[in-house]
Formats: sequence, C-alpha cells, structure tokens
Amino acid sequence: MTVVLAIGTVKGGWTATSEDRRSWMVAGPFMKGWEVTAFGRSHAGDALLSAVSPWYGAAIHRSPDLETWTQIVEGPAYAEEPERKLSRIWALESAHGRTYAGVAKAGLFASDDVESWTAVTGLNEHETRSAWGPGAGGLMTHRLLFDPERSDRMWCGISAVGVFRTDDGGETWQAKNQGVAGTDPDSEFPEIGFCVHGLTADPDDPNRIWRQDHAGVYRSEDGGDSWERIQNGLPNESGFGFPVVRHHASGALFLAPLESDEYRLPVGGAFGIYRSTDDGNSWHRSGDGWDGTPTYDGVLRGAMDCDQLDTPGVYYGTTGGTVGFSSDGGDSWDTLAVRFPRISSVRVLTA
Amino acid sequence: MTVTLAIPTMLAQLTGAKRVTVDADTVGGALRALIARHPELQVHVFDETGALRTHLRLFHNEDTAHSLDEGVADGDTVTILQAVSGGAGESG
Repeated sequence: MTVVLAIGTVKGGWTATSEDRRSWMVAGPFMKGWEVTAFGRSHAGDALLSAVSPWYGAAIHRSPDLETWTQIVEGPAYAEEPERKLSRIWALESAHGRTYAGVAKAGLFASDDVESWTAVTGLNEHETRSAWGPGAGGLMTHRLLFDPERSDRMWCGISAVGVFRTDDGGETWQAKNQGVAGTDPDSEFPEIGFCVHGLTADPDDPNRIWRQDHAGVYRSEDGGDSWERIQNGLPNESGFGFPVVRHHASGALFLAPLESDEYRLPVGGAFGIYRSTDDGNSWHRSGDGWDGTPTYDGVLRGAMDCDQLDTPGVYYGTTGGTVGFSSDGGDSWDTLAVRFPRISSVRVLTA
Repeated sequence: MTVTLAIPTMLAQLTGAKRVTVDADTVGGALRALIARHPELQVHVFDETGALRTHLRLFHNEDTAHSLDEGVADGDTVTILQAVSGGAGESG
C-alpha cells in the first residue's frame, strides 16, 4: 500500500511517499516560500492545501495528483468587515458531500465544490462571539470532527474559545467544555474561554472524543457534554501539548507532551511520542528509536497524523524540522533523512 | 497606455513571469488589468475590504504611487513591492 505523507512548513510543502513505510521518497518543495498550514481532501477526492504569506494572505489550492496545484480564486472570505479578516486557514476537512475550512480569525466556511464558499453563520456569529479571544497562536478554528452517521452533527475546536457542537446542520452551536479546567466562572460566558489544541474521535461511536487541551488531556463519552481528565502516565503534570491522533481499528492514541504552556519543551529534553492502548486511561512513552540526544522540539497542532492501515503508521513533524515515523504502531521510531523548515502540518493523504 | 507591472517573486509563481505588460490609464487600472488576467492575485494584492494589503507598497516608476487613481504614461512601470515588514505571523 502506497502511503503519501504531506508535510507543510513555514516555507513550503513536501511529500514523502513510501511503499513499505520504511524507505521514503521525498519530493518538493511546492508552494515554495509560502507557509502550508493544512492539508486535506475535498469530498470529490482532490488534495487540498492552504498556503499563506504574511504579506500576501491566505488561499486554498487543489491538486488531482499532488504534483500540480491550482489556487481556488473565490476562497473563504469574510464579508467586507474591517475588524474581521481571514488571515490563515488551519483546517480542511470533508464529510457528507461538503468540504469545510476552519480559519483565523476564528470562523468556519463550507463548500459543495471547493470553488465557492459560504460562511457558517450559526458559528461565526455565535452569541458568545464578542467574548472570543485569541491564545498565543491567535484566534482560529482549527479542528473539525464529524458524525459519520449524521450529516447534521459536527464539532469544531477554536483557540482560545473551546469546542462547539451542532446537532442541526450548523444552524446552532453549543459550547461543549464542561469539565475542562481553565476558565473564569464569573465571566459573561463561562462556557467559553478554553484553548482546545487537538481533537480526535472514534468513528464507530462519535460520542467518544479525545481532547488535547491547553489545560491537559481529556476524554468525553457523551459527545462533548462532559469531559474527564486522563493524564495517568504522562511526563508533564500540566498535560500540555498540541496534537492527539487515533488509529481507529486498534484504538491506539498518540500525543506529544510538553512541559507546560510557559515552557513548551519536552520534559528534560526527552522528546517522545506517548501512546495509550486503553482509551487514554494510561499513557506510556512509546517504543524505541529515540536516540537519546536532548531534543527540545515540539509538535504543533496539525503536525501529527496516523494512517489507518492494519498496523498503525504514525507520523509527526517538529518545530525543528524533523519528520518522525513509526510503521508498527509506535513500537519503533525513525526519522526522514531530510531536515525541513519549522513544520506546521503533517497529513496522511493516501493510505 | 502600455504599462509594465513588476511582480514580486512570490506572486510571480502565480503569473509565471516577473514582468507583465498591460494596457491601463492609472496605477489601479494596471492592477485591475493584471488581476483580470490572473484572478488568483486578487486575494494576495487586496484584502477583503478591497484595500491594498498592509505590507505591500506600489511604486510608479521610481516614486511611491500615492493613489490608485494616479495616471500612468506609455512605457511606465508599476512595481508591486513586498515591504521589509510583516514577517511575523500566527503559530500552529
């Protein structure tokens, strides 16, 4: 089975292709000089990426073959509102015949053909919008989850606002952050003010969601109505980190803990991917292959992914430009023999 | 008037050339003619409000272009310049 890994950095995108998930052929850069913030697939199957420049703004590009990329001319955009401009696109996901873009400033857009986009106003103009505030990375919608059985039900994660769920096709959205630490109970909208970083769900039971939050690692068994902290075995008391991914057939979960929000460094320079094989009840530093060299790189929100082959392939990209991979579910780890710029996004596009 | 637009390197990836010749009577008309030919440039030159992006500057021959309505003469050059600012951004 051919696996194509898409790697987005602050200075362009690359692909890494492998037949055996051990030896890789790296191609690129494409979108040279542009930061590639997210990859995805349109519902029709084209590869998508979002590219941004601090000087030239953001746009979506599509490709039928991961070699030639064409910019979408009429991409997501806010109406002519001077106070709310689209600066970046952080999520590109498709489900139930539609493609969604999560953007900064925080908002959600949807498209039937990826050539024209409409704002999901039920979220973008949410009653709590006036109280939405940015985290260190900005104010953005960056994680999207879907119910495989119900097209009217989806979740989105916004930093530093929290998780929202719609049960009516995006008309209305409810904040789903109860049980997560870190908000001001006396604020006007105590249901928001949470900095979600990563989300993943069980497609066989989409009410089961795992959340890497600024405030720690959490699990919900009820679609986000409530959350419980699950950090047993993690090296960081804070539970801080950015991505969380899941191999659905085995249920294995993977995340990359960092010491705290103040430091954002691997604890003691011991970089490693932590794994849970019991739905997050316990965590262990996975496998071997870590070379023991003190490593102070982190893994950003969108820079880890998991393929869905029988034996999990797990992939991460670091702020130091290293791409690591495991082709045996985290039992052993290796790195690509290419050092990239700071990595913003890693995505398995074919597997 | 035949006007040459000088395109910064990043945007030349979209135009396929760093110099593009158009017919226009004003600086803004030259930009509009360029974007008519390469519509994907609209979002990169102007923001959603239609304003020139903050970290771009326009030069008309050797001088700053003070207005999109500034007239141009045959053989003039309009340069889209990536300002030496604006490199900071959001992080993942």
